[in-house]
Amino acid sequence: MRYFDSSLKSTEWDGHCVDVSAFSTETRQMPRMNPTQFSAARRPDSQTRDKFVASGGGMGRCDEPPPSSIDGIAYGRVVLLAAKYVNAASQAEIVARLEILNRRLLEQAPRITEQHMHALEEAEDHVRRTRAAREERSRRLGLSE
Amino acid sequence: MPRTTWEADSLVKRKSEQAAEYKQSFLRQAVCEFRFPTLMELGGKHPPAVFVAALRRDYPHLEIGDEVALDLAGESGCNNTHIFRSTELSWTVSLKLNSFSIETTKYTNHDEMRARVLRVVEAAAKIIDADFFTRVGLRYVNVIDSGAEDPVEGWVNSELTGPLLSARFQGIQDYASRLQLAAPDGGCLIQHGLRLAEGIQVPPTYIVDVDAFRTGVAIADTSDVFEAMHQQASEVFDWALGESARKYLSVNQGS
Repeated sequence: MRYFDSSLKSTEWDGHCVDVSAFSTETRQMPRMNPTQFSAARRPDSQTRDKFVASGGGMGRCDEPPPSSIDGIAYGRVVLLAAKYVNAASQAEIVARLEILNRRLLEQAPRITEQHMHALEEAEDHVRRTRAAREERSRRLGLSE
Repeated sequence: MPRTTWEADSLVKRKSEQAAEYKQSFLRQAVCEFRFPTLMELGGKHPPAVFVAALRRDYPHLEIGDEVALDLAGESGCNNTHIFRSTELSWTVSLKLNSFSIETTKYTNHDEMRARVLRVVEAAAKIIDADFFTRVGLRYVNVIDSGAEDPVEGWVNSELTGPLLSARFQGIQDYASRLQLAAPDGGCLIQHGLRLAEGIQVPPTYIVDVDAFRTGVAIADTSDVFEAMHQQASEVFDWALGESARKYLSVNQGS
């Protein structure tokens, strides 16, 4: 007898199914297979079926800042960092979104702004003018070497 | 310039022309999954309206599967899955906060699968706020049903079933194996094994499960990457077959 007669004892094969949710590099297990349960395997335990009434509004909370604003980007970043902390394992998808938000944050709120540059240039001009005035005064009073 | 080849394409060397010519199929389940940079709001109570509108015609049934609530900030911390089903419930699109997938238990042909995948990608491109996917995967689960015959005898490539054919072992209760191929930009996982039926009188079936994937794929390259993965998966499947299975698949159903 090549194959074990599974009817001889309660079999482990009962309830095995292909779990498509295991469709990932992180959960690379040989799927437990029972074709009769293929279609049911995807269904989450708790779900509500509905014909299309949902329109997709209300994705964010009303007290959240607009997602494109600096506060919105920072808020999204915090939520992602929290999710990353909870998940422990650093998911590539979370890291990718964090990187995108970081770039946008730097674009919208750069560490050195144009105003900073103007202020520095004005300060340099002020120093230059002060030095010229001092040198001119020294010359006039015969104090220059 | 769109990318048309990946290093991972060369992980399976054998080139087969026959896979596309088969008139029947052992395919029990096909799934194409796309992962993208996480967008927490997609895990909320409602899917984006623009996505719903784009899928409404092909997938009129909408379900919401509650998963784990991260409890971060009310709704935005939820991790819901939005499930869209076709009229006959044989095609399913699932949307999560970091992935979406297209799945069928009634695979007809490559053209239909491809057309459905590209339509969903087009709709998803408007909501994922990124122009690339972190990972794209295509998985085909084949169940080789040899009827009254033992699949090990001529239906499956003998290179996969060596221990079973050796006649050295009796009372086999389980037989499964996996082969993981990897490249810097993707890989391929091949899992195969016996599925023993209830009672010894019923011959077992044989599972050939092929999962090809690529990483860091631009949305513009979706069509090419889908083709590359399909070709790879088809070649692996064709290699896994025995002559009896090839003969069976080459005959028109009902003839």
